Amino acid sequence: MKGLTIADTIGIFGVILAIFLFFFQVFPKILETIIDLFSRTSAEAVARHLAAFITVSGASTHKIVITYTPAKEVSYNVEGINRIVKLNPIYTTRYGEKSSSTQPYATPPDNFGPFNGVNTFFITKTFSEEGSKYVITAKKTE
Amino acid sequence: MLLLQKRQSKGIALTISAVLEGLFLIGIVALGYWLILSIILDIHVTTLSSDNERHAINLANVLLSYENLAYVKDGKIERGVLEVEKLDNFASKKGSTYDFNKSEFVSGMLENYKEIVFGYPNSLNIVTVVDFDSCKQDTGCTSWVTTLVGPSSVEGLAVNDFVRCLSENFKNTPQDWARRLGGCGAGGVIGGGIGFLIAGPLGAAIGGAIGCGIGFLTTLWDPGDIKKCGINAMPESLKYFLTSGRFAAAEGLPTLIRYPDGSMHTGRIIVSVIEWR
Repeated sequence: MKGLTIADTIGIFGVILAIFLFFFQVFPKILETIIDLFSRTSAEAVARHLAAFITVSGASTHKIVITYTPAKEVSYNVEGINRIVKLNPIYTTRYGEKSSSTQPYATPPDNFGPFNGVNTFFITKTFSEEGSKYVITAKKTE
Repeated sequence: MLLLQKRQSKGIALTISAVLEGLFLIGIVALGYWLILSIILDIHVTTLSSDNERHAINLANVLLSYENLAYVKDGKIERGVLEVEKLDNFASKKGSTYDFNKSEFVSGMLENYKEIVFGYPNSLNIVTVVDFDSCKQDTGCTSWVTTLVGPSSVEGLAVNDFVRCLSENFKNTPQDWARRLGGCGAGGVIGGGIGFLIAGPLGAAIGGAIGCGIGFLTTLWDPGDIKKCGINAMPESLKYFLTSGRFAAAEGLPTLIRYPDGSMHTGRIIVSVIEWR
C-alpha cells in the first residue's frame, strides 16, 4: 500500500460504490422497466388481452365501451379475420419481441380492420331493436 | 513543506487515475449491457396461462347474458338467470345427467349443433346447464346440453401457426450455418456409408448427397426454436388436457334457472371449448 493516501482510498471506494450501486440499484431498475414494458406490449400479451376484451364485451347487458391502450410507446398492425385477432407489433427499438400473434375471440364482428400503426383500441357493444351490435375501432394516441 | 506538497499531488494523481479506471470499467459494463440488449439478446415474452380455461370461462360469462337464454324483465336482461323455455329451445338435448353415459345422447348432442352468434373459431363449444335442485338418486339431475360451432378459419390453424413461427425464427448467423453444414456432413457420412454397402462407390455418392440434403433440412432450424414453435402451435385444449387430465372449466359457473311458475332453481353452466386451431 506504498503511496496510497486517504484521498486515493476514498476515490477507489467511491468508484467501487458507484459500480456497486449500478449493479444492484440502477441495472435491476432498468431491466425491470424493460421487462415490464415488454410484458405489457408483446404481441402475445396484447393479442390475448384484445381477444379477451372483445369476447367479454358480449357479457354486458347494457351499452359498453372498452378502451384498451397497452402502452403508448408501441404501435401495432392489427386486424380480425374470421374471429381471429392477428397482431404485429411495431417496435422502434432494436430489441424486443418482433414476432406476431394470433388469438381467437368468440363474439361478433367476425372481421374488423385492418388498422395500421395503432395503440388504442375501442370495443363497443350497443343494443337496438335488431339485437346487439358490436363495433371495434382503433387509433394512434400520443 | 515541499515534500508534503509533492506527496499530496501524487495522491491526487493516483485518485484521478483510480476514478478514470472506475469510469472506464463502468463504460465497459454499459457498453456490454447495450450490446446484450441491442444485438445479442432477442427478448421474448412468454405468457404462461391456460388459454383454454380462459376461453371456457369467457364464453360461459357471455352466455349468462345472452338474450336467447337469460330471463328478460321489462326489457332488461337479468344476467345469470336462465329461463327454462329458452333453455328448451336452445339445447340440442334435454335429459338427465345419467344420459351423458349413453352414446345416442352424446351423438345427438353433437349432430344437432347450433350456429349462434357466439363461439370460438375452429372449435366445438359444448354447453351444459345442470339444475341441481332437481337432482334425485334414481333419475339424476335435469340438464340441457348443446354444441355451438364457431366459424372455420385457416388463419388460426395450428399448422399455419407452426409454419409462421418457423419462418419468423429462421436465422442466418454463422452458428446456424455451421449447424446446417454439420448436419449435411453427418447426414452425408451416414448416407454415403449406407449407399456404399448397398451399391458400392456410386451408391456412396448418391447416398451421401441424399444424406447431406436430409441432414441439411433437419438442421435448418435450432431444435429449441422447433420445440418452442411446436409448443406454441399445439391446440390449447389438447395442451390443457395433457397437463391437467381434464377439460377446462369443468366446474362451471353458478346460475339460476327460472321455471314458468316463477320458481328459481340453483344450477351451473359448464362450457367446454375443444379447439383444433
